[in-house]
Amino acid sequence: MLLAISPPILIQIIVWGLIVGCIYVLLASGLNLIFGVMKVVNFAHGEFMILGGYISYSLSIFVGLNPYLSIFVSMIVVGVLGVIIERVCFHQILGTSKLNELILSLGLIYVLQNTMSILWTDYPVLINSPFESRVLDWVIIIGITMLIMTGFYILIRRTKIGRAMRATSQNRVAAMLMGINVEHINMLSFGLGTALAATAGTLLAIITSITPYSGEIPALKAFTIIILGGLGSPLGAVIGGLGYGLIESVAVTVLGGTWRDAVGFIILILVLIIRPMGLFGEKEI
Amino acid sequence: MLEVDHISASYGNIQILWDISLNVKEGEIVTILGPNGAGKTTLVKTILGLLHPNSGSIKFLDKRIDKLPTYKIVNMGIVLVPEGREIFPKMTVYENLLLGAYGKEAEKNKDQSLEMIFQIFPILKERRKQLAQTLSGGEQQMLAIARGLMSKPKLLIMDEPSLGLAPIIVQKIFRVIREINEKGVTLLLVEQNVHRALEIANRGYLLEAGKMVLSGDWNELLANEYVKKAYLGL
Ligand SMILES: Nc1ncnc2c1ncn2[C@@H]1O[C@H](COP(=O)(O)OP(=O)(O)OP(=O)(O)O)[C@@H](O)[C@H]1O
Ligand SMILES: [Mg+2]
Repeated sequence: MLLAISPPILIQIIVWGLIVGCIYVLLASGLNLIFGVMKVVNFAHGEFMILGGYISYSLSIFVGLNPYLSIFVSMIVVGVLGVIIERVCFHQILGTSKLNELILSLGLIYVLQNTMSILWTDYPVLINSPFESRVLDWVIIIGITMLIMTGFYILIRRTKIGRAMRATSQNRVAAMLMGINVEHINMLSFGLGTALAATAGTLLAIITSITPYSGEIPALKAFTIIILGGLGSPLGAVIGGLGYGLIESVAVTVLGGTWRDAVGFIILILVLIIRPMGLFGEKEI
Repeated sequence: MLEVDHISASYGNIQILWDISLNVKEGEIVTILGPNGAGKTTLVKTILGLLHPNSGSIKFLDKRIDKLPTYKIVNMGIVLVPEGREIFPKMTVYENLLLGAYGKEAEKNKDQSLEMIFQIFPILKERRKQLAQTLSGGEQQMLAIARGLMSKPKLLIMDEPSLGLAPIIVQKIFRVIREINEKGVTLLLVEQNVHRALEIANRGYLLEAGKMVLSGDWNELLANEYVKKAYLGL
């Protein structure tokens, strides 16, 4: 079927796949970090993402900040909010039971959605790019994603705090025995994870309009991606995110827009049947 | 240095430790002996704050530590080489060692500590870029001990460091224990290998079914009729 697609359309598919893929990479990496360190699935991840989009939107409208710069501001705001929410909510119930964690993060979805609805109403908003050229936007989106992911990589791989995060995710008790304050690490990881989600939200609001409820589907896709990539595998989240974007882009072009959201889940189900540990994950021992 | 005073501890509703007292003085090697399931690991977990006692108190350098979180206890200078290695599998040997030197004091001395460790365990130097999970069991145990040494502990607690190792490596580990003790590190050693442990320890405690049944100097314990019969097969 692909053979029938002309080269310009093929390029369009690939570019669009990469752009959407960038958003998925950012979203899934944050979700993955939170899961890796805290073993908590943050179901409200999509709402943190959209909140990031709204904050950038307001900054660009009311302060006149370039949206590509406001990414970094909204990232910090949402990150700090993430730290506070971890401290006030998750910290209290972590380790009590999986059900409590589930209810808490499901509840957060509605708290955040309603708050955003009050602050920004339910009308869709779009962040207007300051640039005329769509191509320039695409280049910047890919560039910013690379920048943020490189920063994230350096933080996780090359710094002491990143080492402590990885240690906590690999062996929590041993990390405590190294003198690491794992509660502190939880807070930081949740903050960093939600900050990454916020960057995804700003990019999303630049390419398409958002409402307070736009986070639900992307969050589901991010879950798919980290399951596909292998829970806790950082490289898996990157390759999975880009791959997911590309596959979705192909499906939309070839099969039509109605397949956009279904195709990923079909793949997920297939992969889980063939490789239950995910594509890059390792078998639990 | 360490004073455990009449503590009891439980997992949920199941009480494991009953009225345990124990002390370690600066510069000593003290050993905790006892059969499987006696509660030795539970006792060291309680000292490290991984489990909080239901009653009794624990003091380190004259400060109460029984309500502190683990990281604070570690940063005061008590370091545990845990039972079953507990290394960080997906990090390199070098990164594992760096994590040992996470505390501020230890970090300052990390180059010096690394040098010492690579001298004691040259194999770890060779393997320093390898992921810890790819080490052999014995090498992982060496890594766990080395990581403990990186922390510059005042009191080093080792939970069965010789478990599952070849006799020649066990010998080496006991030599290392003696060496680091001579360098001024106080040691609390959990062992099943009663003979070996009493050979290097100043004193020992015998734990059975969660109760302290016997304690004394190494030679007293070695000469004790009950210890001889039950643990030394004499
Ligand atoms: N997490 C836990 N929850 C419930 N019971 C536990 C737990 N860990 C240990 N126990 C029980 O506590 C008792 C003491 O265990 P502990 O690990 O302290 O023994 P030990 O003296 O270290 O034995 P070994 O020499 O085999 O290592 C055992 O009966 C064990 O089954
Ligand atoms: Mg034990």
